[in-house]
Amino acid sequence: MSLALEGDQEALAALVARYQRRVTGFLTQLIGDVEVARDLTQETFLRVWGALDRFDPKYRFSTWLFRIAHNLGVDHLRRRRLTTTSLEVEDREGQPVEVAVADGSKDPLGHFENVALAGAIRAAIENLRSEYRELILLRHFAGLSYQEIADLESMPLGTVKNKLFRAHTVLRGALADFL
Amino acid sequence: MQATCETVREELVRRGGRVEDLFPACGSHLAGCVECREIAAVERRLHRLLSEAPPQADVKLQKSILAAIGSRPRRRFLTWLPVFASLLIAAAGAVAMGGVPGIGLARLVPGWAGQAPIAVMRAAADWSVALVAVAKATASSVPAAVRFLAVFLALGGAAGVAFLARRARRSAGWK
Repeated sequence: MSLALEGDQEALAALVARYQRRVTGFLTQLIGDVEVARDLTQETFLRVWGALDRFDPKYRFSTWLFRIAHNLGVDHLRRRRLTTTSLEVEDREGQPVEVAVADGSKDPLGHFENVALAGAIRAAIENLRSEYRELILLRHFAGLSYQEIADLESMPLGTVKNKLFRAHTVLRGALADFL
Repeated sequence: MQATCETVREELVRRGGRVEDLFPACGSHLAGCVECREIAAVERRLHRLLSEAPPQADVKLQKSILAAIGSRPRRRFLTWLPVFASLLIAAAGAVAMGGVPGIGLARLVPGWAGQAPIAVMRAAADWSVALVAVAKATASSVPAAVRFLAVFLALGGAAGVAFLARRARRSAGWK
């Protein structure tokens, strides 16, 4: 890490190799689009490279990296919400329901051989409350520890523990057929 | 102290259902609680399932990231150091060539009271007097628009030098 901070290219290449999978996994699940997630992964590392001077080594690198990735992902979602025209139909009670357009090539869990399982995981995570969903992504897709999540989200460790416990309780129910 | 079901389950979620990683108090609770043991087993499977969810490492993407990093300069102080140094030297030169102010400032510096530095500064001051005279003569004979254009070109040139310096740094790509 210290070598990377000094601009050592091999050390930075090692950091990219170490974190790329986790950053892409996290962003893919957050955005729901593999290609966009790959672009944002690249942008994340470019931002890291551009701001290495400002990184304080007393904090964890992973927390900083995923904060950048998270901010980029959220910004992207915000922009997409502003620019996308949603397809809406009405449910039985006349309430508008947004229709998702299926696109297999953009499936964030498309690497799963078991399509049903991939669909169930995706649906289970998507149906979580947003506060739980984010913690699940940080824990299982970004691979962060509870303490790292607490630092990144600026919340007490106990809250992280409790929310992840509740999120897992929901996931156990949603994925019961596969467990 | 005996752990509660909720405490044990929170710990099981945290440790991916690995019973062997639990605190002793949780372990002894587990030995007597069938429901918590079932949750431990389900948590192990859920953890395995979720750990398979992230995509595999993408070497092509990693190469593309490194190539992109190689083509983008770091916003470091060192990048701007040549520019700052040039400005500093130019400012020092302006003070030195400014005639009387240059000598006046030099006299204030301890150890500069010797005759040699003063002589150098006086020579510089003479040069500056000559330059100022030339500048005044030029100013009176050259139209304001031309002078403005000259200043504009000089600033543009300085910006061009800074741009080229940054571009040269960028070319040091990833191996």
